[in-house]
Amino acid sequence: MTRLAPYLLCGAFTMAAFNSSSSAQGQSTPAPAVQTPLQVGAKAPDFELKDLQGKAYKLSQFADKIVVLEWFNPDCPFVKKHHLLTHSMIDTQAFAAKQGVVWLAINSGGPGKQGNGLERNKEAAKEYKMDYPVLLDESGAVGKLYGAKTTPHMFVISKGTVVYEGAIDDRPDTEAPGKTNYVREALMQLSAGKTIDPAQTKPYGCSVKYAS
Amino acid sequence: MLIVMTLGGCGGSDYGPGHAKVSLFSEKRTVTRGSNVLLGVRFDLEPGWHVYWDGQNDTGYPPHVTFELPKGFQAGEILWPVPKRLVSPGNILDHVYEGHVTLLVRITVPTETNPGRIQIKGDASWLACHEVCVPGKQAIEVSLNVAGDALTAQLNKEIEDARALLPLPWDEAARVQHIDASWQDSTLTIKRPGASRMFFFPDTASVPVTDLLHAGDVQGDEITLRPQAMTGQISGILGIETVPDTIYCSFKQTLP
Repeated sequence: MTRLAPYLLCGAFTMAAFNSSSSAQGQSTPAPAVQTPLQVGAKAPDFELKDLQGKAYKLSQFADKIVVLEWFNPDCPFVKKHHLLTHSMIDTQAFAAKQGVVWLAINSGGPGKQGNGLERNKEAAKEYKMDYPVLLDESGAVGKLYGAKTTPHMFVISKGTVVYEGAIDDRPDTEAPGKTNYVREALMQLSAGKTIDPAQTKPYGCSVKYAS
Repeated sequence: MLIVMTLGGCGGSDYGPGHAKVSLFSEKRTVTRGSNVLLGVRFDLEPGWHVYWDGQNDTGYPPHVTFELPKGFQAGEILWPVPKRLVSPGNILDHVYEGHVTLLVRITVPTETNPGRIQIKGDASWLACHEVCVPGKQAIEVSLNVAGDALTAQLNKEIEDARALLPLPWDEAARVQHIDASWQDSTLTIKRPGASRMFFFPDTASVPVTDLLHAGDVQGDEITLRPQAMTGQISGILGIETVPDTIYCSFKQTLP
């Protein structure tokens, strides 16, 4: 059987009528096009972003730590569930902090998109009682580097390697708490020296509101 | 829950805070005991907004419908029409409905029930998105007459139209389409000579396929799917564009 590589051909054609809402496939987007999130076992790429007070954070400064990345958009209803309704995010962060885990929220929303902007994020961080850094990634470069799809979308990094990637929990809606909090489980398994299981789940939420 | 609207143009719409209007209607006004009837749950979406298909998507969640049925009545699975692909900035891939969509549900009428008028009530909840996402909720209701005897009922045309948007059963499609599916080196190639474009939308039972962004929509008469794991199945909706039209059928292949 001959084996064509249809997806190689595909890029040469522009999207036709059926896909009329596809605006993202622009031919002029040289940004790294990560389709799938960074895989478990992959080296977590370094980045540098500023928090809401203008303080710069580099992932590499926490090379010997466990780091949790939380993709964030204060106005996404899924994020609101975890921050305002069930408090699962700050509860898990508080649990993590006790173990010395570094927790960073990253907002990859582009200018003018929902939940974007320094003032809005300052206001939300206060309202949500987030006493951990909220990093702004307006260009979306870090989000695309990690293949972050949703808010929230969680990555747990240990010694520079991704050890968990996916959802915060097992309840993909905007209303109710989950039964299993995957990030908490992963951190517990990590500290007990156990294999992380599940190490990958399907993230759920709003799309990350990338600029392009 | 407080939803902060950050976009203009949201206020004053006919569609309400959930950016959709939902209605429930029946294939027949009168049903007989021991028969069944299709109900349609129609979502009319505010222009630009979408709701989600029940298959693999990067974001969102599909509408959820529950019914309160009279004693003995039973509701089947929701039948989902063919969605369309939506690619958003950051290569985020979803399968969605825009404009309007009718989900179908088959209701079985018990043999032991009194003739007369009955009410079927339900609740629809959904997530509508357009730049931002907003959850919505609405009560729905339809009344039916239960007749004692058989009768020839007039069918609701709108239900017929909605049925036409469901994917065809695989057997039916394969019979007329000459579709050939074969495995080689952990890849599944589906060929339909003469097709100009092919689509694949994986359902939630399917093993995810690699690079669905490109692999799920290809030019030509052949689509190649690489499963991300080698146990389980590849399943969902296969779309075949030919001149003059595009057909969509249910598709399922067990992994070798």
